[in-house]
Amino acid sequence: MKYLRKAWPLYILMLPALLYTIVFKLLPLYGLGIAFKDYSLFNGRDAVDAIAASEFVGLDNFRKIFSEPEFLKALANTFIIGALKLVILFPLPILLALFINEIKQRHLKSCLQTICYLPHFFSWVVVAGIFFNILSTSGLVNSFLQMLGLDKINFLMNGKVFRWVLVVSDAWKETGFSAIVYIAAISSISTTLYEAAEIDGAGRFDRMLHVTLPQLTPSIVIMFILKTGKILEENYQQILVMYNPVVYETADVIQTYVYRMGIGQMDYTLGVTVGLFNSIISFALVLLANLLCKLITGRTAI
Amino acid sequence: MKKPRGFKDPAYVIVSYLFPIILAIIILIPFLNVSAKSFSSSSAIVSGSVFFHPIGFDLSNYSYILDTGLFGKAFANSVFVVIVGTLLSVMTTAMVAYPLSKKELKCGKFFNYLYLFTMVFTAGMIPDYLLVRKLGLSDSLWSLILPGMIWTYNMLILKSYFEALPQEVEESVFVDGGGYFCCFFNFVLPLSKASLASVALFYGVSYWTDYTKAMLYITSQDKKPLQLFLYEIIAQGAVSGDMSSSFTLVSAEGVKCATIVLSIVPMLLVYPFIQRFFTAGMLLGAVKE
Amino acid sequence: MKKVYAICTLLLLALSAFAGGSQEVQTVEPEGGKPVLNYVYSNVAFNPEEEPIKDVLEEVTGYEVKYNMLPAENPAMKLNLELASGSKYDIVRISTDWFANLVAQNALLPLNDLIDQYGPNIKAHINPEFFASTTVNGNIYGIPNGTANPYGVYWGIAFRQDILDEYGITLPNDLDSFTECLRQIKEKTGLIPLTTTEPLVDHIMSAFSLSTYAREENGRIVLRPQQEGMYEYLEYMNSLYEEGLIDTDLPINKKENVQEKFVSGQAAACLITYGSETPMEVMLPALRANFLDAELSYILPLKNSDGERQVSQLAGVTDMVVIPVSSEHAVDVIKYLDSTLIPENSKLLAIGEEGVHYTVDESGAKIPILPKFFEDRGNSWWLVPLNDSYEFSNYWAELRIRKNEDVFSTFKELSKSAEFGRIDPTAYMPLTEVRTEYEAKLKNMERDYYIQIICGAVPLSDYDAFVQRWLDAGGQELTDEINDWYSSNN
Repeated sequence: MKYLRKAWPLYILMLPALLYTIVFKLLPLYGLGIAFKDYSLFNGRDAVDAIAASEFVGLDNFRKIFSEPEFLKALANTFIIGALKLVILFPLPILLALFINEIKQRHLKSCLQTICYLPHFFSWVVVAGIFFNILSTSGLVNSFLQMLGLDKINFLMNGKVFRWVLVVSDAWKETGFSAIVYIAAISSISTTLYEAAEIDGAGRFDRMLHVTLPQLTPSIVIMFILKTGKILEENYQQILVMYNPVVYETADVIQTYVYRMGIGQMDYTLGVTVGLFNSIISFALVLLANLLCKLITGRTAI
Repeated sequence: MKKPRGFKDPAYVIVSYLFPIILAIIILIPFLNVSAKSFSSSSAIVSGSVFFHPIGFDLSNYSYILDTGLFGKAFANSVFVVIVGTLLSVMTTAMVAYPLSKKELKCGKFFNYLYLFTMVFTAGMIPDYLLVRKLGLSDSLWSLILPGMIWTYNMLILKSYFEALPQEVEESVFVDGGGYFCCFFNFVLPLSKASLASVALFYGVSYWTDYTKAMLYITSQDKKPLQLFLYEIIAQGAVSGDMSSSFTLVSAEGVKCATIVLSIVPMLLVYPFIQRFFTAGMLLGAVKE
Repeated sequence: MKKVYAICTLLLLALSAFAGGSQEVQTVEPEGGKPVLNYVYSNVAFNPEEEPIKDVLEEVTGYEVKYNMLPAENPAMKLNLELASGSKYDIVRISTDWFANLVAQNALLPLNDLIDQYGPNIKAHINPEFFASTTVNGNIYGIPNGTANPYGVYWGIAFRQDILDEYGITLPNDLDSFTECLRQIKEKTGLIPLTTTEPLVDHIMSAFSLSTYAREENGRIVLRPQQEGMYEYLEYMNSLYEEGLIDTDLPINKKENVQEKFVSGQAAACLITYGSETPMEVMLPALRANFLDAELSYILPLKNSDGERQVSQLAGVTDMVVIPVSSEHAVDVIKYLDSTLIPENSKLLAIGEEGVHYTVDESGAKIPILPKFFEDRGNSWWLVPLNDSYEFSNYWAELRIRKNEDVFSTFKELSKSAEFGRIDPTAYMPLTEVRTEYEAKLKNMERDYYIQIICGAVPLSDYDAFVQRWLDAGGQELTDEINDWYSSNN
């Protein structure tokens, strides 16, 4: 009881968010039922009632999807591309934040930050257009290669190379913006720690290694876990806009596959079924990442 | 006694400058190209001769967008959504991140998992749409704010930040007879300016750039937010076989570029303000107290 | 400071409790007058409230209409959702691919009796053949918009005649001369001979006796992948691609890329249309600005081995008007639609008044008076729900195509191929569930595959396996159903 007398403000503070979560996050989960039914919008009195009124089919929807070999290929691609991006794109914003931190000229620093976070606001349609311009067979990069006497590379139509195009364009677009979290975290590191390190003879590099980086660990852990959870839903917008039939083999991911399958059909069931599958896997991944972080750094997000 | 520095430092400093500068350059170039196109004549654009500066300087791309009369209203709608939305979001997110950052909170673990769960599990567009409708939020600007008001992502960022704050501050508050409210509003929040600012930025950016919610929930012309308005201009220009198309002598590409510039410029103006919060040494004074 | 935070928080929370008013679609009943009708249509960039045609419609029909626009993305889904949630829409203008879906979900009202009672003009001015596309099991669910005279040919291939002249290359007429022409362009100029975004090129397919998606072969209807000549066509295109005679960027080309390459002179020939995929009103002036003596020559569809030419022509029902079951004003809707089809009204709404909006020249052709015509009637198409089937080219095509001289001249050139036009035998087939379920998906699958085969991502030997996959994915069902209809109707 003594606990409650002291702690009740905490529960009050949580109230709005809790209300929000129940209404906007938990209630709609009722719609997950669509994944187990033969759903049609007009089955019941209205679309919601239709969920209950539609026929229960158990795991049929899942079975239908999994039996398609193309889906399994898309699944594999999703993981491969997701892992590739995680490994390469995760450290970049951290590095950027660390580097920018070393820049002493205030205006330069501010200017660079602003420019770097710009591409985040371009839609993928625009970014795709930019990369097409540069990477097409008659584009800048290939002209450059030709000048050097090398063979042209078909960036956008070569399956293996294309995956790297996805990674690089994602890096270009998001690094700056993703660095903001780290920049904010760095700015709140107490300067006394730096002063102490300097007295001990640490140069800039050492200070970064022994003060900045360790202080960033909590942020890094959180971001890592969150990013892991997003692998599956990652950037299908990007792929949808940038891919073409020639690279389906290596670049078709779950979401793009679902998109193509659903054309012309208003088939909600497919979307919800795959979505549920994605959610379950993502959840597992997040828990896994959490565990990993705990083992390595002793801290967790949860 | 100072130890010899060696290669590490100079090399590190050089890289620290080069990396961001190179990144900034490869970002700036296409942006210059896009803005150049937005000010160019349609024939120059279609010939692909526009690079870094406008050719055949022409404001018709902009007048095409701004003349429709709906631009001003759309802009105002977006401003409303961004301001109200960001304030609400930051407040409520901080209010839930704080208790969850306290180890002594009973059931804390449960809530943590709950939020993680909701972050990953969504039922998709249909149930969300139906819910918004049932709540009577259809075609209201609130439908653009409430459904996405709190992100677990941002909540975890704040929580992690709160967790890292030194305990001494709070302990001194309790000693003085204050409670959690006092801690939170008087001390924790002011000390978290950097983190709050970045979360505010994330929410703000999302409210400004999102158009998917508007596409689903807004039907009236005058309630459209800016991004939806701009998006539809481009999408309409892509309709084929339409013999009564209103796209006259304006190149679709040029208009697209103009929409990009219009939606980015506000961001460019806002970020420097946010940056003020990212200056070092914020915590220093507080701990010494 | 803490007080300020606390108050702010409480204020905002309180405000959010008054989450704004619901603005669902209203049905307004003015006292003793006609009800306001809710009209839904696809996404457009203009504001209907500001269009003069809105007032003309009201004047002429006596009905006030509220306009509701669907979003640009997933409009079909949004429409479905709204209807399922009971939105009170009265008139919905949809394209044919959404139709079967809505019918299957019992979302539409049958209109037979209503039309009989209240729609004399509808019956008189809409081609009864078109109703086949909107009738399911004897119930008419929609009123079709189409044209009795096929649209003509939409795509063509244009060569830069000035380049051909400069290097003494002749304009091709059949397959061999086509290949030769492209080769010479590549050899002598180093330019991209032909650029496009699509794997299926009508004028080339003509050489393989291919044109429409469905055609009759020995009394049966055969769809494209199984048609004779399809494999040879793909083989040919693949050889062109390998030789570099077709733009290697074909899979990734967007229409802007194609426009750019042609206008900047990187490509010597390109697929052209008078529609917005290649906006000639912008491209031609730009081309002339870059190359003073630029001239375009269009080829006719290439001759096949028997010396015949063929192209597929647009025909049939393009979109339609339906009434959802949730509407409470069906009778008024029919009356409204009917009054728009009264001949004087129909003409007024489409082309305005002679002398004010258009003039008639000596040959009897109508010329629009610019800019008044487009100010007042430029966007009529979207707001006027139905058009007179028999007057389509008179009212709709003729004047609008003259919006711009360059577009008009392109239209004239492409029309020269119209004499070789073939109409798809399934153009007026009613839409069924099977068709909706499979058609779009299969066509997509085909397009993807054709690109893969032409660009060599997949070997030609895989074609038969592809056809089998296509059949399994719904192609067989679709072909069978079409044949059932065909044999029972012919």
